[in-house]
Amino acid sequence: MQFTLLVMIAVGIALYLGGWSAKWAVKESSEIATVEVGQWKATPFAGAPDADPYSKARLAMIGNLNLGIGEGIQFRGSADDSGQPLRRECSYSIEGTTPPARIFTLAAYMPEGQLITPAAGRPGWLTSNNLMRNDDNSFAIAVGPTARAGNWLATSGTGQMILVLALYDTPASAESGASSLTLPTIHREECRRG
Amino acid sequence: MGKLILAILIGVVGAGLVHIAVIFTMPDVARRNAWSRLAEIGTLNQLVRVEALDADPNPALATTDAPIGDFAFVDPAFLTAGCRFSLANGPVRIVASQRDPAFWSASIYNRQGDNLYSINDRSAVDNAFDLMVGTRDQLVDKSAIEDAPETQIPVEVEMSSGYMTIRMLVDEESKRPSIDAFISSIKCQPAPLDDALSTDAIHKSGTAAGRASPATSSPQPTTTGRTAQ
Repeated sequence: MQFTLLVMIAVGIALYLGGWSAKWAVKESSEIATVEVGQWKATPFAGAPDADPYSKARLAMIGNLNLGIGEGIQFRGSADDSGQPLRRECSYSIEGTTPPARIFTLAAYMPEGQLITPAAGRPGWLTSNNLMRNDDNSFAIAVGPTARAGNWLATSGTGQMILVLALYDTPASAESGASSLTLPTIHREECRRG
Repeated sequence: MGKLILAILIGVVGAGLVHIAVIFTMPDVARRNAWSRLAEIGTLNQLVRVEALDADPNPALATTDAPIGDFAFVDPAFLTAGCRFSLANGPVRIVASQRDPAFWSASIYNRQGDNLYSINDRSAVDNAFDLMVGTRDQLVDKSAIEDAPETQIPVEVEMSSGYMTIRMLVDEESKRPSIDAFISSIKCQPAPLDDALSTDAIHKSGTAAGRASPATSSPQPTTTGRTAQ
């Protein structure tokens, strides 16, 4: 009787603790193999055959159609240059340059990955082909709910958001390139009250 | 008391083993991985569209549209499509019968979501999207039976089933119809080795697509009337 009880305790601890720790690790392992450039984060090796097992498990859980390593790299920005989370009701200026890429796109998403679609006629995403640039090839993009001249990415609603800067067909997604990149900065300008 | 501590210690060691086992089996057993999500919106070999999820979905519209899949962080600047395929009965040919000068990028993944191959419009031959996906043996057998079109690229993968995704840039709204037509012209078709009739049909249509002049400026080269000589 006592032996059965001890076995049950051992098995119970093994299953419960093992399952819980695996779930926790997958949830928290988003930092593993993450490349951080300024306010932008990317996981360039997600989906690679030689990725670490935690990244693979995580990818299976979230089920994204991630970009292949040869296709490009997706940088996600969730905070501005003062460390504050990005908000849909605030306006931001994104300035700087990107690494060489054939195409890059910028769009705003909910933290869970749904696209933030502004009202009809407003630009919900930007592509590098249609961007206005300065003489030195840098650019400035205004992000926010109120219309702006120049490059403007419209947002709507309230709450947190994530900006995704996706570079396509770029050497930056190669293994050595990602950490030494320069990406544009995200600076908060003002927030709409109410 | 000593036995209880021993039981707890065994439990903790067992927890470590369970942890490792769960992590390693997760890619195979996860029910919500990309393969399963693609399976929800289309059958094997069927090309399905993937669109970005809407943050503020309109319930009136949501019911009437075709299923768009449940994928997060889909780039709205691109038209995205994908198909699942199985290599159990021979190689699979993934081919677009049209051409378009827009930027496109395609990837092939195995069922667990490992990215095994990527190609874009610059690395393709003559900007044609024409892949023959199979295992090494299947591709050797295939090339022995018939001559592939010049633009066809053999893709050697070691897997039994997987999926393909293609993304195509829509940088101007006026280009959307022709890009939409290009995406619609993509077919994921099994190219079995033993079925003479279907391989012949594929061979003819493939040759026709391969012979379309690369110099033509039309994004939709005609394929009718150009059969194998």
